[in-house]
Amino acid sequence: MAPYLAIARAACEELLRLPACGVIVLATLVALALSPALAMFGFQDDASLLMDFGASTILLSGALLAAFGSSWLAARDLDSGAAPVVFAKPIARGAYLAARFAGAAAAHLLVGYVPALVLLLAARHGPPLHAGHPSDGPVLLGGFGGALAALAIAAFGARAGAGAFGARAIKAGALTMTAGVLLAGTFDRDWKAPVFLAGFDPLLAQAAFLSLLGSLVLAAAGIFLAVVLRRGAVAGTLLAFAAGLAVSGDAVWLVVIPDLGVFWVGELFYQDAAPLELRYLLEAALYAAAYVTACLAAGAWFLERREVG
Amino acid sequence: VTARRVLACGLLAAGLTVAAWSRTELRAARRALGIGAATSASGPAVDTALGPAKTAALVGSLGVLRAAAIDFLWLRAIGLERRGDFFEAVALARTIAALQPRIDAVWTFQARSLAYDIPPGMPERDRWPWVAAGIDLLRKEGLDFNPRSPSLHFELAFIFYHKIGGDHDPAAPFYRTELAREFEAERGAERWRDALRTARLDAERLERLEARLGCPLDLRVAGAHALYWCEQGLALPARERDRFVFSALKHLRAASLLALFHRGRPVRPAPGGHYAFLPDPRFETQARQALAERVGSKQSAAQESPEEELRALDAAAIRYLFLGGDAAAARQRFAEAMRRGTFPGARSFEEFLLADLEPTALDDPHAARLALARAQAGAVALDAAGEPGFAAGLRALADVIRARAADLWPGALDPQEALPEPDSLPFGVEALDTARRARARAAPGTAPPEAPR
Repeated sequence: MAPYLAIARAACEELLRLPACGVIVLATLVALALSPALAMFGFQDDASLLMDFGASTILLSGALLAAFGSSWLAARDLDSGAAPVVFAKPIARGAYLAARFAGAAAAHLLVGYVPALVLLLAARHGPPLHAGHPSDGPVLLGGFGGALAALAIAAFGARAGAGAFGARAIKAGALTMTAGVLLAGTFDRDWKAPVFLAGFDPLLAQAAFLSLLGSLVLAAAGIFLAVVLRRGAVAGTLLAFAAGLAVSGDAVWLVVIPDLGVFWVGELFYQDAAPLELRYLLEAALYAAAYVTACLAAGAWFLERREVG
Repeated sequence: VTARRVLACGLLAAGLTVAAWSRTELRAARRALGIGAATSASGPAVDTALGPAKTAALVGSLGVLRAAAIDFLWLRAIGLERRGDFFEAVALARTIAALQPRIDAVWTFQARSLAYDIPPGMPERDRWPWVAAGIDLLRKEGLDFNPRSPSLHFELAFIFYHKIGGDHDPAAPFYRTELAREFEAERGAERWRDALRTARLDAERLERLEARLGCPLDLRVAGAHALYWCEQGLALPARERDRFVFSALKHLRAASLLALFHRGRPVRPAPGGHYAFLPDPRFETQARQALAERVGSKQSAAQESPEEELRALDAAAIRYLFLGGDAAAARQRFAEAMRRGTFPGARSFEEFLLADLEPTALDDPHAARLALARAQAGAVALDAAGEPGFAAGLRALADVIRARAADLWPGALDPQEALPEPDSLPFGVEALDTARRARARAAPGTAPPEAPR
């Protein structure tokens, strides 16, 4: 078991240390932090727009990470000879892919979790309704305080030689932003203490969770495409993302395309809808798990058939 | 190796099977939630979550950049509209709709531009396609994406009521005729059903509405469409933020019923003419109920109060009874109203009748002759159009004018003297009078508008 854990851990670390990962996370966070101002031109639907855009941004950043992170790294290892060395240990090729995906999935969840918290804070603050619209103090303190704390921890760790700055900032951000959300959830705009976590939309949290599941599906598809296409895997993953958003119809063969529509509930924000039932979330998780299994199994089958290295 | 390949194949098959099953379940759940699928009566399926497949990939892949793009495009579209560049504004609005089809304001902006801003720049006979495009945009694409938007239902009903049914646009008779021609086929016939489908009207809902009204709706009349879409909008779940729209829908519903009462009976024109619309007393009770619901509600200073509107409705009902050919019933109802004190200013039935129908008829003998000519020419036109009841009503009106004129100016109206050419006909029925239209065409500058071919 230990070798597989080591492969997973290495895959996770490698992904978090990628410059592309840092760029994607930074761009996502900036976009989400600015989203209240950007969404303020939606007539009566400002808040709905903000949540819709936020959820789609998390899905988009997950897709980019799957293409330029998981898929690219897997293709590079298969091409460069790093993977054949591992296979010579001997380690089963299917198990190698599974471990690699587990590491990538952990990185995806970590990278998606921080923006999801920022989105929750941005939605709680909401778009300014007019020029003198009061700010939400607890949200600003929790959000910016959490971000600054994460940067400080990462800088301190980097100075002490304990890992790359970007990866450390993401890990620290997961903790400090959680604390920031808890702080904002304790108080309302006027620094009074109503019901805990009041003001946070559960449907938005569910939408962010579904977006994360969608990015895991794309990560698995990216790893499969890396096995099949190698250098073309990045473009293939991006195409799979576009096809997954556009796929429609109930034909059975469509199951080979990752149906990202099932992870997309942005429309509900415009309908004042109640939170999704647990059944929907479980079925979406089941679909993601089944699709990931199929991708990894197909990748393993391809790997078993061909010479590697 | 073989065992591992078999295991991989087994897992692949199992994964795809479970994925296919759960995908089917999820898609069914999404339809139940009203997302990712069109829910309008008979529209093309919008089967992906983000709209048609061709735009879904673009929309989904922009993420939060979509907000910035929408902001920019909105500001530009509004700027263009203010400058009067309506075509460009509509083109930009279409792009915004592709980026964010779930905002109803995107669709109402486009529909208003198409129906209201662009047509005045066109010749009258070329305006209808633009108005029709505005309506189609709302009832097809707009409602496909936003089936639960009361704003879209209101906008749609308003265009039918105001733009087509009203007289604010000189080309309104063209619009009414074009709309009426779409539903000229016999009710229930395949062509009529096709027209129903094209107009996105649901036959069952229409039947339910008619059962509630107690009479069939003639879809050749703009008010019938306005009423249908008002009722559809009012049937939507009421949300707090939509309370103003619901209030507006209730007002528009009452106004549509009044419009049907005043002009709800279409009269087919001679070839090349426009449809005329006569009063339809069947809608009196419904219009009265809708107005009564509004009694006590807040009105702006410029608006007529519901109490005043109810009094006007009573007066119109009596006049329409008379014009419909039932003078005895009209007189009886007038007497009852006088006993209740409904019309404090009225002295006699004849005066009451002429005060609205021919207010200048008793100014002088020439005005009386002109009013007489209008009534008689209108009666001839209605007779020719197969409306003997209203033709008889207009003849009775002519008798009233003649009798009152004889009282005021004995001998002034010589029965042998030829009447002057009337300047207009009652109820806008001049379109039915092809002889008069031909004479008007011969005199340049007075020709009534032609129907587009």
